[in-house]
Amino acid sequence: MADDPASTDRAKRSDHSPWNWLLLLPLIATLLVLPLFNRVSPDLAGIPFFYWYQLAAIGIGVACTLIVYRMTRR
Amino acid sequence: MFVFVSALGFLAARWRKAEDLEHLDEWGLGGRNFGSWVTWFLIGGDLYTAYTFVAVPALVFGAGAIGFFAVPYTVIVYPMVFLVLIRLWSVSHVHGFVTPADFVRARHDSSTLALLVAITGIVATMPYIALQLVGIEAVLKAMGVTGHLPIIVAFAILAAYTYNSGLRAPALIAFVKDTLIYLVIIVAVIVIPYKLGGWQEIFGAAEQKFAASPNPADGVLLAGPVQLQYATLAFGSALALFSTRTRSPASSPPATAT
Repeated sequence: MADDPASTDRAKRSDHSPWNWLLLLPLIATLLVLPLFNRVSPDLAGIPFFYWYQLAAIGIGVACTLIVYRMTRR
Repeated sequence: MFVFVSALGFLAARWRKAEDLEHLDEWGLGGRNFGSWVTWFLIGGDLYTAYTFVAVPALVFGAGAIGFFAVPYTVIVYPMVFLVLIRLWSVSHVHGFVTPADFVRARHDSSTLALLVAITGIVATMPYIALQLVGIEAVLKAMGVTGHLPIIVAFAILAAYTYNSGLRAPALIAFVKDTLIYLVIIVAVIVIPYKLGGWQEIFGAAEQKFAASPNPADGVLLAGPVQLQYATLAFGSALALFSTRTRSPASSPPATAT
């Protein structure tokens, strides 16, 4: 097929949406601020902050993806 | 259990019965008709596996905090895949693509590039599968079954029912696998701290062990230079997963990113 699939996509919507920037948030929250959470306190039931924060970051990732999905679907 | 799962694999062809299993997209993509829950189980079964269960805990046990990279890695991989996925799926659905190679051929009008993508995909998946087999071997050994024959038999059965039923087989089996995994994790998280005296005890003991070891890079937290390694390991793993796994989402609507 020689034609570019983008041009035959009949839907008017473009995949570029400002909401997509929200997808960067999980990346920032888990990797870029690493020095900030590389510590033991405040701990949750004995588990150091480093560990339970990253598990909580799962929720951040899910929330961001969900928001972007809801906001960008037709 | 093994017999049950194998039977399930062969019977999977009947599930959500297709008119013609000979169609490649019925075999390869389960008819493009898997709903959200099925896909959730399939991807979960795909992602959380021998690597997660054996290799990563071993790393954490040996080297401490750096082994935890698996958590941020999986956190970032979903948004990344989501970004590309929407486009990949809608275009693939319209044009009847089955693999990323098809997409590449159409988009860039190059059969050579498509061939390279296909080959890369196959080659890149091989070490991953090898690792799975090593994991199985370790488990069997722990059960007292040694030698290569059991592995070969297991793999042969897997190949046979996948050949027979296509993507439906792993999808159905993923239900069983995920349930087992959930069970094990929940039990482990409750029983282990209970038996060992609580999380404080566990982390305290770990801290002592790492303080006593000669390696400066291990520990309950990340030492200075190790932080960069951690971040790049997580990010690199996400990219690797991304490039080898974008085929499976092509089987269902975009409502699968979570």
